[in-house]
Amino acid sequence: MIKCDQIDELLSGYLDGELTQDKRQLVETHIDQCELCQAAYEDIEKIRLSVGALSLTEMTNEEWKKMMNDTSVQTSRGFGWLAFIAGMLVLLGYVVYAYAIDESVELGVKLAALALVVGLFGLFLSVLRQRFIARKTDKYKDVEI
Amino acid sequence: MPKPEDMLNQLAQIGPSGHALALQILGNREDAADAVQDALCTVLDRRSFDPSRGEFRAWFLTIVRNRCVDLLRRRSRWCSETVEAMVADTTDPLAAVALDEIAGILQKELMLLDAAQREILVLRDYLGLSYGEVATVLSVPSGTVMSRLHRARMALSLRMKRYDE
Repeated sequence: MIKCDQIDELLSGYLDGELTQDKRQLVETHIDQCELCQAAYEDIEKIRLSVGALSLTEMTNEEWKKMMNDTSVQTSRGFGWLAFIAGMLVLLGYVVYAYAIDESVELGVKLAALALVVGLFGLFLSVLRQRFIARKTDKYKDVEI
Repeated sequence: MPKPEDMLNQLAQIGPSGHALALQILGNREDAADAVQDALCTVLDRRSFDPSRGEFRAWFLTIVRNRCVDLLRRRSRWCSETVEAMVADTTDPLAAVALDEIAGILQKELMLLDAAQREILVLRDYLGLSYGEVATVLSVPSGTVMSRLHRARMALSLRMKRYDE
């Protein structure tokens, strides 16, 4: 007969119907003959039933649907991004201006910095354009829950 | 690709499941609500679901769990501290009465397991996910699920036996 420690975790697989036929038969044969494993099986069966019967959330379906339809949830990120981008642009403009009029920096370094800023701005515009196109063709936007 | 209406209808059904999972991982109602709301934002932002990722519910629960783990990492208080605080905080009379009942005791003992055991018990025994779905949510090989789940069940069973005497 197979040993108890070889059965062990297979008891859970057996309880959940997740074993192959071979292993299922192995467990069936063993627990028919072994009182200890039979008791362990009954213990975990009781735990599964008891946990399944608990009430672990206080959120009702209505509260959840309300959260889903709350436009502030959906727009708060948009507003956050808008404020972030606006702040970044103002700061960037100031830094570029301060850098451009700083006579202690060589022209070559200034040009390299300018290329960097222009490149970043170009990337930003391309992402923005993509987002705009995606929003225009968004088939989900009018879906009510 | 499922229709958008289908996706949102499914989402409407599974929110409380996400909240239950988050509550068990985080042990705190406010944090759980934050995690579920963050997960909701992620789903609404992406607005698409790739069926090759598995069942929609498992995908959503994966996002919820990831948000929970992020929150815990950020706040550096994985598992014991919050849970013990929560269990110790059940001072109102109604909660005390509930804890006298078997379900209340079970819930309390569940909260005292470690987070990895709690989450696997919630996913399988409370929410009824298959082993494959549990593996997806936890990002572990499916072979790991059975042993981890069994250890969690045995640990909870051992704790509950103290009340049989």
